[in-house]
Amino acid sequence: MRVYIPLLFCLLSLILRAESFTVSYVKGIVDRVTEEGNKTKRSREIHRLSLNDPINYGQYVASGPNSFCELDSTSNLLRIGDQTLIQYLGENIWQILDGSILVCLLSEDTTFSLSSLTGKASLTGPCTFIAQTTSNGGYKVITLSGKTNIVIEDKEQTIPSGRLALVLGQSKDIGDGYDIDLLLLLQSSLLINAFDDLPPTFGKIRLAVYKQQLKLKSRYNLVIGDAPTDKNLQMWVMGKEADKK
Amino acid sequence: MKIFKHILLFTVLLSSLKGQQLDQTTVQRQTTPPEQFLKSSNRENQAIVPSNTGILSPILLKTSNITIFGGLDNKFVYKTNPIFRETNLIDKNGGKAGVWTYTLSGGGMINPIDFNSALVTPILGASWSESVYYNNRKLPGGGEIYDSLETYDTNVYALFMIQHESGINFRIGSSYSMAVNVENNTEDYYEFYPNIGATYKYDQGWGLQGIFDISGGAHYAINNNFGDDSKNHTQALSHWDYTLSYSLLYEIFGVSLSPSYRITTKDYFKDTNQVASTYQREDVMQYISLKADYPFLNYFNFGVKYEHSRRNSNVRPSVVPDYRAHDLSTNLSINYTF
Repeated sequence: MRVYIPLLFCLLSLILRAESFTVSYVKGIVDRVTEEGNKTKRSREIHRLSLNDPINYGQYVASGPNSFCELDSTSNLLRIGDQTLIQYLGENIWQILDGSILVCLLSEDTTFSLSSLTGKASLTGPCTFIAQTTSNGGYKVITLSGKTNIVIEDKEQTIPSGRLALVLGQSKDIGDGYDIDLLLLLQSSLLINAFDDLPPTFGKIRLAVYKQQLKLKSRYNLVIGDAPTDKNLQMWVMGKEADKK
Repeated sequence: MKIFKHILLFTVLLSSLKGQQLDQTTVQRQTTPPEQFLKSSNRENQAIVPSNTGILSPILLKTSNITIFGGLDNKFVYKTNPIFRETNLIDKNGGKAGVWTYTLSGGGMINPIDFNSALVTPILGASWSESVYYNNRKLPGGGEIYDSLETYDTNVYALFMIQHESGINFRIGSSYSMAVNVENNTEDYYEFYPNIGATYKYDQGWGLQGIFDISGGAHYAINNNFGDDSKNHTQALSHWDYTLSYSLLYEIFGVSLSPSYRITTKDYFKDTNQVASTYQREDVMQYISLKADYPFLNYFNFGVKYEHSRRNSNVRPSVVPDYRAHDLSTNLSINYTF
């Protein structure tokens, strides 16, 4: 019996330490999908998410068109955009299969592991970033506030606020960085504006916008699109110039 | 005939407004960088289509740690009461004037210093302006004469802009200003003005933004005695000022419209205006204005502004006149950052 008591304490402390996510906001149709069974016999349970529902390891969260969801834990916050599919793999380990998420890493100690179909990186903050999947199997990371420290297989890079970097799918590398117009992004981002409240780190995001505006030299009439391969990144001309073409 | 009068107004420079001085405590001096420099500019005429991540548009940032800015402003103001006479004297004596002001401004700032919950930006700036007052004055026996008054104003300021994550922008700094009467080549007025302030801008809905501003400071002023020679100086215009203002900002078709109300109290603390002397002077000044700004070609701004101002002083009107004034101004400015 004496042997079991410390073990029980260890187990309890592990459970208490584990990052459990609960739904803190939901709009539209957002489902939690639980898969059970093995490869030959697999069953799926689909549950329509509502406030305070928990998300456990292995479960998927899928959002429909014009549907948004926010998941809260003690040190992180996740906002899930519309038509997005993500899976909670383990403590602070997520996989984004399609769509976009906004992540607020509130604590300095937390390492957030995010993988896509072929890309995988560990991210540390404190910071706020948006991740969006790309066709090459990787994903884009755009830091909105703080500094996102990205580690891919021993390669480390710090992405300051207002910069976009690519977590490349096939080559397991960090792609080129681009400074992004944060003010325009904030005005047009549903991950910021489609929710009733602003993200808890919005004060820091506001400071990042202020800093960027003071350092702004010029703008390009371009929009960054998809990355179909690791070597290609689509750019589109926007505004009047695009209309002429 | 009217055209002839206007031509005369701008070309004939006769005698100066002898025996008349501007009340320098009513002059609004520059203690922060030009508004256009600090304003975050949106892309013009662009339809924003929302998406999950938002529009990802690349930009180019400065690599230098120091930003230099400069600007030129050309303003014409039609003033119903240019030298702030008592209201009932204006109509009798004429007194309306056109004031042409050219302002050259410049400065530099170091990249913001990050203090986690706030960004601190040290800024140094200066401006120099020349104002020419064109005034047609009715003579007691009939007829009118044209007067002109020319002043140079120099301002130098140093301030720390503190942008807090709550959205409040604090500022603390000091400025030195000097006004020179060109006709007599005399330094009519100079002041040292340590000041603090805070601005809070918030979204009010329906595309409206509300802007609260509160500021205060001490004007340590030295000026020529009225009607005396330049060797006789006084500190009587030294005063504390406390200002509260509220503005609305609305953008439509690229034009930003801004109605504003501002109230300032001025407590004088030196020489004849101080407590121990004959009286303690206290002025309350109120301003209501409507401003329209049209920024174009990235660096230019065309503006039109109407302002009604009034002063109520606790001192008898023969010494410090209570006045009302209407100003209608138009300006064209260019601001550039290097």
